[in-house]
Amino acid sequence: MHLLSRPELPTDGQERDIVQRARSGNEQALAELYDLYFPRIYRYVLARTGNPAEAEDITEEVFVRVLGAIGAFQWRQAPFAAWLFRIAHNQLVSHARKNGARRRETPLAASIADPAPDPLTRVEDRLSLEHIFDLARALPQAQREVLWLRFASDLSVSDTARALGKQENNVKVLQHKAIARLQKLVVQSELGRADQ
Amino acid sequence: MKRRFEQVLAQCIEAVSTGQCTVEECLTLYPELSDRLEPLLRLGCRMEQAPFPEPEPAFREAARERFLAAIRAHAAAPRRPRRLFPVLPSLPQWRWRLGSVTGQHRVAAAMTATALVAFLGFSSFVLASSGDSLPGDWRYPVKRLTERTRLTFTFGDDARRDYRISLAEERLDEVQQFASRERQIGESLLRQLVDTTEPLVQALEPDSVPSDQIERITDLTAKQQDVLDQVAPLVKEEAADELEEALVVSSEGHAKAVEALALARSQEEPPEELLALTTPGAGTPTAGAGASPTAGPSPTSETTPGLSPTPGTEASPTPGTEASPVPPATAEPSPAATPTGGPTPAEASPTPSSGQQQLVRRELLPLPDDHTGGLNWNLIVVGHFSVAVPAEENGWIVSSPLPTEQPPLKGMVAAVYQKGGSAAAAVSVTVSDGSASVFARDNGIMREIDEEQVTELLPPSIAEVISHILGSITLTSP
Repeated sequence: MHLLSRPELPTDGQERDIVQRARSGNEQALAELYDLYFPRIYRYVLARTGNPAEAEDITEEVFVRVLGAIGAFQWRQAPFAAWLFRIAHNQLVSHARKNGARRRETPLAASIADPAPDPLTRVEDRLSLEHIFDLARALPQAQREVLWLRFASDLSVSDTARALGKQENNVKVLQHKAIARLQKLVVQSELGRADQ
Repeated sequence: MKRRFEQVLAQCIEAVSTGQCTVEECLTLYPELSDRLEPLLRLGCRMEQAPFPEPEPAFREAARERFLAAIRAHAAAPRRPRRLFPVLPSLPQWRWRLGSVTGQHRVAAAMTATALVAFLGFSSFVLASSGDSLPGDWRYPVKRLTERTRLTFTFGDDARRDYRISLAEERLDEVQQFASRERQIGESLLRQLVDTTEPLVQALEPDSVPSDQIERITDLTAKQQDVLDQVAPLVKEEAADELEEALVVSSEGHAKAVEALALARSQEEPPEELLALTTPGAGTPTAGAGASPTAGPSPTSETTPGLSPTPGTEASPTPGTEASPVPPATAEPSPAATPTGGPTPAEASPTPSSGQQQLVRRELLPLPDDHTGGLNWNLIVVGHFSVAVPAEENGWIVSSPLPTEQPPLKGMVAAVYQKGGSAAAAVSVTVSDGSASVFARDNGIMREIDEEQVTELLPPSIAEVISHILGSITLTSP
C-alpha cells in the first residue's frame, strides 16, 4: 500500500518564534509561515470550492490578508493555525457571497488521480475520490470541516483540533461521524448507480 | 463503548497512514470491532492517503514571489495614523450646516429631532427588554449585540472570563427556557452553547484561573450535562450531531474543571473558618491558634494544606463528637453532620445570631477508625450533606465548596487521584443532591465512566477508594 508521509507542523515553541518574528515584519519569518501553510490552505480551499483556479486565487488572497492582519494576532486568543484557517474560512464565505450560487467550472477529477488498484471488490474503492469528496458536501458543516482539515490539509487530529478550537476527542467524534455517514452515502450512491 | 470506537478508529487511521501497521493488522487488534471498523477504516485510510493535489509548482513559485513583493511593499508603505471617526466631516463643515438652519429647515429639524427622540426611546425599550429574549425573538439580535458590546468593553482577563462564563450560563438558560416551553431545539442553539463553553474549558488552567471561576465552570458543565440529557427528546433530528458535540464538550469540560478545581484548592491555604470549625466545642473558634488538642484522634498528620486537618489545627472532638465518625457506607443520617451534644455547623459559625439566616458551613472531621484502601479518611460536612474523602496523601487531592455559601447548597466535593503528575481518576459529588460522577483517564483523556465500570477500568486499590467515597454520600433532611 502506498503511504504518504504527513508533513508535520513545527512544534509550538518553534511556531511561536516564527510568528513572533513575522509579527514584527521579518520577511524571512513571513516566508517561512507562507511555505509551511500555503499547501495546506490551498488544499483546504480546493476541497471547499472544488475549483483549482478559484482555489489559487482565494489562497493568495488569504495570505495577503494575513500580511495585513498578523500584527494584530495574539496567541492568547487562538493558536496560529486556528487563526489562519479562520481567515481562509472567512475568505471562502466572502468569495461565495460575491459569486452567489455559481457552480464550479472545473471538476476536481481533472486534478485528482485515483491511485486505487483496479479492480477492487469494495464499493467505496470503485468510486472516484472526486465522487467521495462530492458526497462529503452533504455532511453537516462541522463534520465537513474536520474532513477537509484532516484529509485535504493533512492536519493531524491534534492540529485539526487546534485549528478548529476544539478538543481532540471532539474532533475524533466528528471524524467518526463524518466517515460513518460518508460511507452510508457512498453505498447509497453505488446502489443508485446499479439501479440505473 | 461508543467513545472507545471513535478512539480506535482515529488511532487505526493514524497507524495505517504512518505505516505502523496495515488495515488487516489493525482489524486483528480489535476483533470484536472488526466488522464495524473495517469499512470505516478503509474509507478513512483511502482519504488519508489520497494524493490530494498540490498547487502547481509554477503557480506556487509565482505566488510566493508576489507574496514576498507584497511583504516589501507593506514594509515600505508609510504608516498613517488612524482617524478615530473617519466618516465624520470636519468641524467647519458642521458649523456651516448649522448656520443655514432657518425657516422650513427649522420645522424639518424639529421633526427630525422628534423622530430621533422617539427612536431613542424605542431603542432604550428594546435594549432593556431584550435581556430575556430567546432565539427567534425579534429582540434576540439586540441581546446578542449588547452582549458582544459589553464583552468588547470589559477589560482584564478575569473580568472578561467572568463575563464569558455568564454568557455560557445564559446560553444554557436559553436551552432550558426552550425546553420549558416545549419548543424544539435546533442546531444553532446547541452550537452557541458549545461555542461559549469550549473556549472556557480550553483555557482552564489552575495557575491562571481563579478557583471561584473554575468552580463556576465546574457547576456550569455539570448542569449542562443534566440539562442536555433532559432536553434531548426536544432536539431536532438534524441537530443530533450538535447535541452529541455539546455533551462531549460539557462532559470533558467537567472532567477538566473538576481536576483543575482540585488542584487549585490543594494549593490554597485552608480557610480560617474551616480550621475553626474543625474544633467543635469552641464557641468562637479562633482558627486553631488557641485550640488545645485533646487526646482526640489526629490521623492525618501527613496531609497537605488542602482540606485535611493540619497539626496546627488538630481536631479535638468533644465526647459528643467522638461518636461523629460515621461508617461511610451507611445510608443513615450522619451523626457527624449533627453531632450529639456538640455544636451544629451553624452553631459553630463565627457570626451567627438568632433570627439571622445561618450560613451553610463546611466541616472537616477526621474518621480515625476508617483505613479503607490503607488511607486515612475525613468526613466533609456541608449543611445536611456529608461524604467521606481520603486524606490528601498517596496521590489523592480533595476540594470542596467554599465555606461561606448560603442555602441553597451549591458546589461540589471533588477527590482526584494523581499519578505521574496528572489526574488518573476523579470523583465529583454535587452537594445539593448528592449526585456523583466518576472519571478515569483513558487514552490520555479524562472521561466520565459509569459506576459499574469503576472496578473494571481502574486498579483495585483506586476502585476501592472510589467505591468507598460513593458509598459514603449521605443527605439528611435539612
